[in-house]
Amino acid sequence: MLQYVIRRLLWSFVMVMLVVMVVFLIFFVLPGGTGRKEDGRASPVAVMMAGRNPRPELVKNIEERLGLDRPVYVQFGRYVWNALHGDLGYSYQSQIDVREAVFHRLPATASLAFGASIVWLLIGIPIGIISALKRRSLLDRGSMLFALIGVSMPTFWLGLIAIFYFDSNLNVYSVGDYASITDNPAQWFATMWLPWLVLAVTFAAFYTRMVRGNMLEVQSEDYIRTARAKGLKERSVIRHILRSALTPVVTMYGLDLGILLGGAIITERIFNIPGIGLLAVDAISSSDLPIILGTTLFAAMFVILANLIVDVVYASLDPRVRYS
Amino acid sequence: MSTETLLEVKDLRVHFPTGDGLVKAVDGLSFTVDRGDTFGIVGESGSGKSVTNLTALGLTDRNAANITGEVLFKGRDLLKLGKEDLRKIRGKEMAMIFQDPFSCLHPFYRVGDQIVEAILCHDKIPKKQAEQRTYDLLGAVGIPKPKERFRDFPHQYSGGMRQRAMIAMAMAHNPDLLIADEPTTALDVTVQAQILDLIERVKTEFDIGVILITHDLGVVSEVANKVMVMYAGRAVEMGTRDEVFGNPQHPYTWGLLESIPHVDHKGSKLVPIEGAPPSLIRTPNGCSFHPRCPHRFDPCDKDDPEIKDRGAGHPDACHLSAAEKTRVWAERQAPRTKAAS
Amino acid sequence: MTDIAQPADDYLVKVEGLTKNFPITKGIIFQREVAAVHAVDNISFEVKSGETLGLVGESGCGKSTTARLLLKLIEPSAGKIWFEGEEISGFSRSQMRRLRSEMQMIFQDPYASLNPRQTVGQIVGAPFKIHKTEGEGKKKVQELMDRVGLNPEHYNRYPHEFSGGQRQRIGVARALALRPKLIVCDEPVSALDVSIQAQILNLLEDLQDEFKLTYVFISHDLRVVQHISDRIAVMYLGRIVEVAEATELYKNPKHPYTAALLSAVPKGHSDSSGSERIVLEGDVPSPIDPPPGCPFHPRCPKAHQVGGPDGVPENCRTEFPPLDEVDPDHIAACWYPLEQGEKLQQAAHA
Repeated sequence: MLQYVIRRLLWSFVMVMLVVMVVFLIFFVLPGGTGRKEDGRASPVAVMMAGRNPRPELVKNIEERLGLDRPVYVQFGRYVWNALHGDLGYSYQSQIDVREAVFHRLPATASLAFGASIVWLLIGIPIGIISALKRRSLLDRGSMLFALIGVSMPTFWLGLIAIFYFDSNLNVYSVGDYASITDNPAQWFATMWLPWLVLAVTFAAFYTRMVRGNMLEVQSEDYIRTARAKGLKERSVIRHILRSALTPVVTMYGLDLGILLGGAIITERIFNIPGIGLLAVDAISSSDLPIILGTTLFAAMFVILANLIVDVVYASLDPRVRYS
Repeated sequence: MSTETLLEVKDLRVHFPTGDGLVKAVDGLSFTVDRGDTFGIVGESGSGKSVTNLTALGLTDRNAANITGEVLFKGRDLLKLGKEDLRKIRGKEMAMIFQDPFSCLHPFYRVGDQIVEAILCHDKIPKKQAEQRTYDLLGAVGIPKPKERFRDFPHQYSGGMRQRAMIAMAMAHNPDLLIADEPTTALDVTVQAQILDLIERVKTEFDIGVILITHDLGVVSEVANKVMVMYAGRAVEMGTRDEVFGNPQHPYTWGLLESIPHVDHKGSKLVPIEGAPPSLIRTPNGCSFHPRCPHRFDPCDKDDPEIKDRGAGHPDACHLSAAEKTRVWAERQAPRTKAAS
Repeated sequence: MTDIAQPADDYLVKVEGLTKNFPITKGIIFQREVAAVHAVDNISFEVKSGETLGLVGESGCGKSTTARLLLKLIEPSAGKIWFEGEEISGFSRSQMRRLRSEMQMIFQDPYASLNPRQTVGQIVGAPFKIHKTEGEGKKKVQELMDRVGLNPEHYNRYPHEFSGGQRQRIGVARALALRPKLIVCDEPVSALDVSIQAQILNLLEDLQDEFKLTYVFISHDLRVVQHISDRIAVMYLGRIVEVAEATELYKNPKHPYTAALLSAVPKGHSDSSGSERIVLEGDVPSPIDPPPGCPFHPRCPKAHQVGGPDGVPENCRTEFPPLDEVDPDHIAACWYPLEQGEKLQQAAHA
């Protein structure tokens, strides 16, 4: 098991490197790319940073300082080397330390991801279970309709509708006053509850369907028939069903959370939550390569770590799975 | 030997309404099982042999099926019992083991815990005591080192051991009736023999009745003392083992007997039953076997033969007279015996 | 091709020292092999033209792996295979393509081995397309369908519209399409009802006569194998332990495992031989770590009988017995083969 984890971590490292390299290349190769230098012209970033009507010496100076005059592979190597030492560079725009910038934004994203995930679990799992147990009932049909609508509503649309309704019409919510949970819990909650709901709708619909589907599948398993044949009370039989039906939900949950921790771009953008997603969006619009790389790096690490954790947890839930 | 009737099924019908029509899975079935019997139910897939027993145990969804008739277990009609009363009988007085031991145990729970659970759901005893009883049960069905194997998960057991564990679980409350649904079909030949032996041993030791459901005539003829042959939801022939195998009366039984290759009858060609079993939604008029029957005559496609003794000493559902049957069966067997000698 | 030239008319297929290991690996980055599943372990046999060789054994004995090795669907770890006198063990995929039309396979599960989105016509006609054989297409397929007992008018139907037995007929027609010389049947009737089993077995026998086919017939059901085979090879834990003509094997088993297997088969009511059933103790051991020596020795009643109070004899425990001719045309791998008519005693100890 330990060997397995170590092997996975080593592979994770390779994966993260690959992701970073791809992003790096994209921003060099694409037209208008940050570090792109064509036929002796100055790099766009340096020009931008030098301000209005820059003197060529200043541009050159900036290029040298940022290493933009070096070949791509040297720049990449230097970036990786520094990254390994915990230095992700400084933002081209605001000059702040990238690592700090990401850490600074993490609580907002984490609040959004965890909060929303609790909401969708609280909605999705119970409805899925009841729906499966009362199959073909009115409730089942109703919740399946909800699920269908839920998965079909795009977050950006739902988010805007929600803001329009709750902020403009009812005035029970106002966009953009995010406060961290440690500073002002009440304010934090006041700004987060609507994004949670909006983000959770699609997931909840999806989880409802998954839980219901799993339950129905497990219900027809031979071992559930055995459980009934030995005279277990219906409550215990349902426990047997849940044990099998909810295990895959753990996997799903872990992966979804991992992805969201890398930034829920659309939701953060709509509700103006200063999280990693928003940081990345802003960085992209201003060609701020260090920030882009930094957020990508974190997002990749979250996904890969979540994958690993999920696999390890799964092994402890399903005795048939053993890693070596 | 006193014969005590354990199970008496009277005119059982289990019909499932579906979008395509009414599936008559069981259609007018009657039989009795006594204590000490190994009652073999033989039939191919779709003959209704499994549905019959799941219905007896209350494991068919009553909302999805129309069930009529009577299933008297020790005098009580199981079809009239409520869910909770049925649950109290299941696993306690009447237990069941299934075909596929690979899928019949919950993969996430330890084998021992699953048996303990079976004990505790009917007996209010301390858990320690239930564990002790589980060790004894596992040992009794021939699982070596029961204390260690108690803690194993099902996937750590071989197929034969899983079936042993299932039997241990079934015997936890010393039931009166054990229903074994194809208990050896999924197992290797040498392991099959072990499990059949074990069921037989359990039957004598605990003095119970056994219903053995199988498609394998060979298995039935070795271990059952009474046999019922089912086709398309009905019994077509029924009697003691010697009656059914020594003097088979129904053309379907003949067909089954002739379809099995015999290790000692090398060279003789198999005589298959032509065609395929009928759809249970649109069963043929008259005798449901008549489209596949080489001996069909005038009334077969109109009159549905009831199952009764036609002079052979045991009941069957075929319009042919007993004398006619003796003649036809002797004729059919002639080339086989010649080839064998 | 130069070393051992096989007379092509005698043996259609011959294998020598065929071995297949599936490695189990361990290690952080560099995976090293720590163990292997010995699926097939150094087996040799030949299949004569026009005969049916039965391969029988319990789960994990390697019979299905052998089938796949024969058709080179998987690569052997060691050993040689000849087909019509030509050594094909070293053949590449493209070299095998030429031979694919000569050797076909019929699978156990007629439900899983047919593409549900293709019509019968497409399934049965596919081999013609792949091997670019000229033909009138539809007409040829319909002839085949008729030959295997399917209604040719059902040309455009899909597999789910057929019953299990009919689906297996589709599988047979597909295998037959290119008039192969060899058909490997891997448990072709195990998933079917008894009455349907007999139909398919009869069909296979008729087709063999008509098209001069050679069968390798694999099954765990001794009754079925006994019925259809000319010769039978019994496998146990990746090894062949006995090969003999079918009737001879039944009347005069030499290997204790064969004897136990035969006695475990339910004989039915008409059984008059009065033979006691020998119930073997325990399960088949894991092929990852098979017992040393003769793999059957821990369960072998004869070994316990010979050894008496001293336990299993040493040669059984340490050395795999050679597959020797015990009687004419009857080979068995056992240090203490059974005499004709010898009855095995039930092992008293586990």
